[in-house]
Amino acid sequence: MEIYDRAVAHGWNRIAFMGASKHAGKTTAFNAFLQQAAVAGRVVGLCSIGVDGERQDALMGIDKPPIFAPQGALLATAERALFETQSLEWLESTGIRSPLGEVVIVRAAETTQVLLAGVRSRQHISRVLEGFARYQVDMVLVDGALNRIAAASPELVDAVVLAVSPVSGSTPDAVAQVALELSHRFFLPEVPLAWRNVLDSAHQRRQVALYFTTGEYREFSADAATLHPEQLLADARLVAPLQALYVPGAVQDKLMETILLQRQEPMTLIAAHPAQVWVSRQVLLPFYRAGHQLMVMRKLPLLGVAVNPHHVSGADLPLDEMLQAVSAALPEVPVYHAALSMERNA
Amino acid sequence: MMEQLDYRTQIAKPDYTAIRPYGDTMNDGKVQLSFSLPVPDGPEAVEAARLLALKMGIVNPSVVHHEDIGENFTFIVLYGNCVHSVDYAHIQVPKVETEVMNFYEINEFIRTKIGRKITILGACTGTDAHTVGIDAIMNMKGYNGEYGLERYPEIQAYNLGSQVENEELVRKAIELKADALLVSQVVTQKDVHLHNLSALVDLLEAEGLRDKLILVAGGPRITHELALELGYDAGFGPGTLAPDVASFVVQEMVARHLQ
Repeated sequence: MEIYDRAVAHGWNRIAFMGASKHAGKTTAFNAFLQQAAVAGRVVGLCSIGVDGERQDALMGIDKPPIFAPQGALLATAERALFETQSLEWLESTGIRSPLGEVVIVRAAETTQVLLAGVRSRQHISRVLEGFARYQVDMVLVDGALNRIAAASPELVDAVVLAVSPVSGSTPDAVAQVALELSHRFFLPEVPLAWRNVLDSAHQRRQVALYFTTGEYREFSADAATLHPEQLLADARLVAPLQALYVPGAVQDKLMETILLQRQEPMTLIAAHPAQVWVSRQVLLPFYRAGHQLMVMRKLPLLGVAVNPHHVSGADLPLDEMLQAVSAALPEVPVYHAALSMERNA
Repeated sequence: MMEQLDYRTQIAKPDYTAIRPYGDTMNDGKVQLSFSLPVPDGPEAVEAARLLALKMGIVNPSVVHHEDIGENFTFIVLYGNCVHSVDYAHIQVPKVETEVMNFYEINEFIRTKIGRKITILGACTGTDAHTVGIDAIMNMKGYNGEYGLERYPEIQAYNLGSQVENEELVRKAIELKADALLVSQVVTQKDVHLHNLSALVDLLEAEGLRDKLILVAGGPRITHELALELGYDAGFGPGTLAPDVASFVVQEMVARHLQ
């Protein structure tokens, strides 16, 4: 099944594309998906959390894949990124300031090459999504930047495509290992419904929450887990054994290390969603070995992994071996070659 | 009496749609290259350099200096003519476009438009230990005749130094209620530093801070365009001084209503 068909089958209409590195093949995967959405007659909204569709890479000067917005597609991009684009219908300003001018929403009157830039944060994406909704966009594609994961939030998108290339590793197995580590956050279990009901108010108000085995529940300010994790956990021990700790911000190494140092009884650490998980493998493994669990309030599905065998410096890897290695590492996710998918559907 | 000719009127005018390097005459394309080759000095090294230059698109390559630099390496200086041109007239480069104010104007701007002291944190993050750039911006003595941000009475400037982990920088930003973060990175072709820069943006997003502060990247290979791609508000390259950065930060704070 094609990635596009899988998204349609699940009703996932807002897709973020993230990479394991720069030159991972995000934009090619974005283009392949866009091509199929266009053929299916979807009204597509396009934006990028970085800069996409530019002719050359900003650092290395090498050629990058163009983005062609199909007729009728909506774009959210900075005003000065539109100078060379023809046949656009201006729809509205978003109020988002950028180094290339204000981000505006326009419609492609005919198929045209575009440059997507200016959208840089989750708040920006959120504002763009609201704008797209006003014009009956029924599918949104958010291209990524380098290895940024900010757009991988269930509050913004329904699913994520991960792109990997030999830039991440010199062998197919090394690339597969990187894909596995980056994907781990998407396979974290969701909290049980009973816990979610208890923790939902903290989640909505962006508060740290402690949930004790006695059923007691306490909230603290959002930065308590980042600034004073030792104090937070020490105070918790005075109340009752801790069952779960919900952190609305980034779940980081320091917090896990503190739990490992201070807690004896296994407990569950809960992040808001996959993009809030910022722990290294070196800390996560001892955390699991100590009997603790890591969960998320809301999961975000990994729609597929796009494998790009090309390396910018020419150190390409064999496509079949890459597909095989990544598939073996992530058996539950479709692994595909985006460029091939484009050729097939051209 | 003969009218004296101004020599400046006699210089050929460049065609901005097809710019080439200038050596002695307009459009001669003259360039100088210097590089080292991993071969012993001698006629073969000179010929290798000449052939390489031809492959680079340099015509009439002429090696004017070659020198043994030890361990079977040769340093080469070569002249030649570049036959390619670029359309300068249609180049668009994203750049910081805020007005650059001086030390006194910036402090006055903060007093009148922001109404409180602002807090700026600077650091070389990750594995980067090259603090020359961030020191020039942050340290009191400054650089090239301009005070660093530590000298500005209306700015609480904290230079966190080198090899600061993103996690630590974010913790400091929360603790000190930072209004702006200045991140200095060398950025190698291996992308390691790029990933570190982009990871900081995502970490700030995760902590809910990204839209509450101004995020600036700086370094020898940082451009405004690259910073934009990374999710920063601005990027400053070599030659940047404290007033360039401070002017951007304070005007951006006001524009984004972050007073």
